[in-house]
Amino acid sequence: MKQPVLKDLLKVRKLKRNLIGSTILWSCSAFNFYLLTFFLKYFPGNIFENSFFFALSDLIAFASVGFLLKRTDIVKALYIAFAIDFIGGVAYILFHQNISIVPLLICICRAGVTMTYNIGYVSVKELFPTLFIATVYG
Amino acid sequence: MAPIVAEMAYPMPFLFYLGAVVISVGATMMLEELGDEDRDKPDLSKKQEQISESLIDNRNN
Repeated sequence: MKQPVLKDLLKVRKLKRNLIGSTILWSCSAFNFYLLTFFLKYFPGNIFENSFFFALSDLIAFASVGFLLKRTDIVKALYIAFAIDFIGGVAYILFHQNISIVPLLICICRAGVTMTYNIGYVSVKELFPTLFIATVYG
Repeated sequence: MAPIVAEMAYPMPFLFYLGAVVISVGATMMLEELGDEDRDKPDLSKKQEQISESLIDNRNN
C-alpha cells in the first residue's frame, strides 16, 4: 500500500484550505493557551488557588465542548469558543484594575482557550480524510 | 511615570491574546467539514495500481 504524503493532500483544494486554516488555528490556540499559563504567576492572589481555578475552568470547558459538538458543528462550536475568548479578553483589559473580578475574567479566558484547543484536536477527523489523520496530527 | 507604565503594561499580553483570537476567527472561516464523498480523496488507488503495474513490468523485463 502506498503511504499518503503531504503532496497528495495538497492536490485537493478543500484539504489544502483545511490544512492551512487548522495550522493557523492550532498555532493561535497554543499561543493563547501557554500565554495564560505563563501569565498565571503574575495574576494577583495565591498561585495555588489560581491554578486550582484554572484546572476547574479547564474541566468545565472540556465538558462543554463535548456537549457543544453533539449539538452543533465544528465551525459554530469554534465561534462560540472565540466569543468566550473575546469577551474574557476585552473584559480583562477593561477591568484589570478591579482585583476582585480578575480571577473570574481569567477563568473565562482560560475556558474559551481550552475549548478552542480541544475543538482543534477533535475536529481533525472531520476536516481530513482517514488516510491523513495520523499525518495531520504529526 | 514608572508606575503608570507598569500599570499599563500589565494587560498588554491580552492585546496579543485578542490578536490571536481574531486571527483564529479568520482561520476558522477557511475550514470546511468534509462530506462523505470527500473522505476517500485523494484517490490513491489509481496511483497504487500504476505502481503495481510498473513493478510487474520491471520484474518481467
